[in-house]
Amino acid sequence: MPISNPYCGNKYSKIRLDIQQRKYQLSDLVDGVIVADDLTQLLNSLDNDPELRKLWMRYNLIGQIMRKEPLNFRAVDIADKVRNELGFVYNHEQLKLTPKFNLLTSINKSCATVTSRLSALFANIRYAWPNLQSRGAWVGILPALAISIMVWLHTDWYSNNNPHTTGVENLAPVSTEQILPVAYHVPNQESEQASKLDLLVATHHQLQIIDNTEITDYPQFMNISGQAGFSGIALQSKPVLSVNNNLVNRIVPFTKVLPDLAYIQHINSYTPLLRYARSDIADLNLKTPYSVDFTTAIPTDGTGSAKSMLRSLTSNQGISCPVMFGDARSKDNMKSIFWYANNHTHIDPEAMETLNVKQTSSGTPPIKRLLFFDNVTQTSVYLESGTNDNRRGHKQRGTLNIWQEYRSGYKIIAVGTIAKNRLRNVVDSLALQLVDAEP
Amino acid sequence: MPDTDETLVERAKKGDNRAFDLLVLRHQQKILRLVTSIIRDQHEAIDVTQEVFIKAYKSLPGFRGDSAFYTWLYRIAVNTAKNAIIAQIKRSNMESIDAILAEPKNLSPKLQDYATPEHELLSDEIAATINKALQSLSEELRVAITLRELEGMSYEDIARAMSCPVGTVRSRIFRARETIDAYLKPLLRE
Repeated sequence: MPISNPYCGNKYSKIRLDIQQRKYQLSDLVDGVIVADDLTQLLNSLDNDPELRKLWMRYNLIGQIMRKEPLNFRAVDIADKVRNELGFVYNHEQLKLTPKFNLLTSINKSCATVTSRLSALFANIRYAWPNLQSRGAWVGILPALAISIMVWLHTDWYSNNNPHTTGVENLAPVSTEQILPVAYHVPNQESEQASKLDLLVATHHQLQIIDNTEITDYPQFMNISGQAGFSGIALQSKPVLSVNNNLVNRIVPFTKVLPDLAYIQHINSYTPLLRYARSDIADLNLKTPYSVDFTTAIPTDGTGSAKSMLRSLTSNQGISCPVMFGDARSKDNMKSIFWYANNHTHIDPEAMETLNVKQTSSGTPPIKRLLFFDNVTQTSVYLESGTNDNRRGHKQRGTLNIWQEYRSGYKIIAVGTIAKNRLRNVVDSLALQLVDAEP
Repeated sequence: MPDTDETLVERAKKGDNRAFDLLVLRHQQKILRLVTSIIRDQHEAIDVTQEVFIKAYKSLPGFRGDSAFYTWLYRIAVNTAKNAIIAQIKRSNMESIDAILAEPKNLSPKLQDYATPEHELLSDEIAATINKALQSLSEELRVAITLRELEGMSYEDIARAMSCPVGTVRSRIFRARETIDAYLKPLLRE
């Protein structure tokens, strides 16, 4: 029978009283005697107090141990993984998802040429990042953190006629652009407001690419090419910004979703569903050189997942494609994978040379990929100029939402693990900025 | 006495993800243990365990409560783990799932590589700590928590057995847990 809460700790401060009350409520919940209102209160408290979850786990553990239930206790929080997978994040956790990397130290000064092209390319575009950060009180500090954009500039693509591209000059450089937050862009003039198609642009932080951006050069990547199973593998040794918040649970075959973006693959190997990714890769029955981008974003077992995927790919005779593993954590992890690739696959050591790993697209060049990242999740926006159409719409693949539309001479495709309305806001905001830009 | 799982399932079915999170926290160790008994590779077992809960979450609207939640979860876990083994076999061209499930020695070296002694050590340490904490409790607290956790008695029955009000039972059980937790917490500190 549920028991009303008799607790009346008037000798405690309110905070301590609250904490004790929550503990009492947890104990009640363990025994199934909690009343509905208390349960609601308790669940609400979980949003702000991470200790309550741990306490709940320990309270249950106490009973399990006392009952001598078989346990092989692991200090691993499956629930954390499950929540991440399902996209459920407590308020108090939002900053925890922030990947740890240091952009400033990872920037290489050797690519001024590419830098100038970047600057020219985006000189007329100011990207607005709608209020994806609105989940917590940390909105104001986010832009001050190292919010970063990785732009895949100079998008190359394979063709059936030229399956084997050569040379570093053809490689798609991964650029790490330093981003400075600019002040809130508060619309204070009617004309300015009127020029905004989407007020989100005017009311949220805007980011502006700095001139003279320095770009990490390709030699920072470790590259090998192989013979068995696939044509090669590139192991990325620097932190990349293409991390997301682990919500993608399957390979996303854009070939099936967006024909115009064929051959661009993104896999988050964090998930336990790697086997689905493997089967998807097999289903694609690849005929042309092809790029697969693995992003491992979990701090503990991503490397293992990458290795697992590597094993799978090398043992699959039907696949022949360049593979790029991007790792969001450390160079050491990638070294580990690199070592593994050398010692546990059939890659010819003599074939260790620069590999043709590219981001590919069947669209009309240049296709620019912009990555927006707010330290929690990311959104990719693909821009293709010189096209026009009236089609627009939303699609979904797994946990990815996709929005595509044509505006101002650009085809814009946004892909991300965010709500579709948010995605559309990103496109709207960006499209606005493109109005004044030359297609 | 209402069932804890039942209460949380009801909330989770109404869309409260926090309730489901508590269910996962409550059962994750047991399910992981179960999955590990089928899939010996610990990384794979963790992945599969995660998948079990994701499947459960997605299937929750269809859970009618004909069986206990854990029983339902147990079935999902066994099926998911077996499917994972089958997938492994297909990948590694092994002959028969039955052979593997029946005879752990047939597992591939990778599958046998589940080095769990440290986990068992930790489990033993946790058990020893809790037992030590139990011994440190006053008799009334120890009896209350034992009747509840070991005997599964309701608060009312415990109150009758201990000749005290139900509210006192509730308080004693809570204080017992809090005391034991003070021992346990340092052990599980991340």
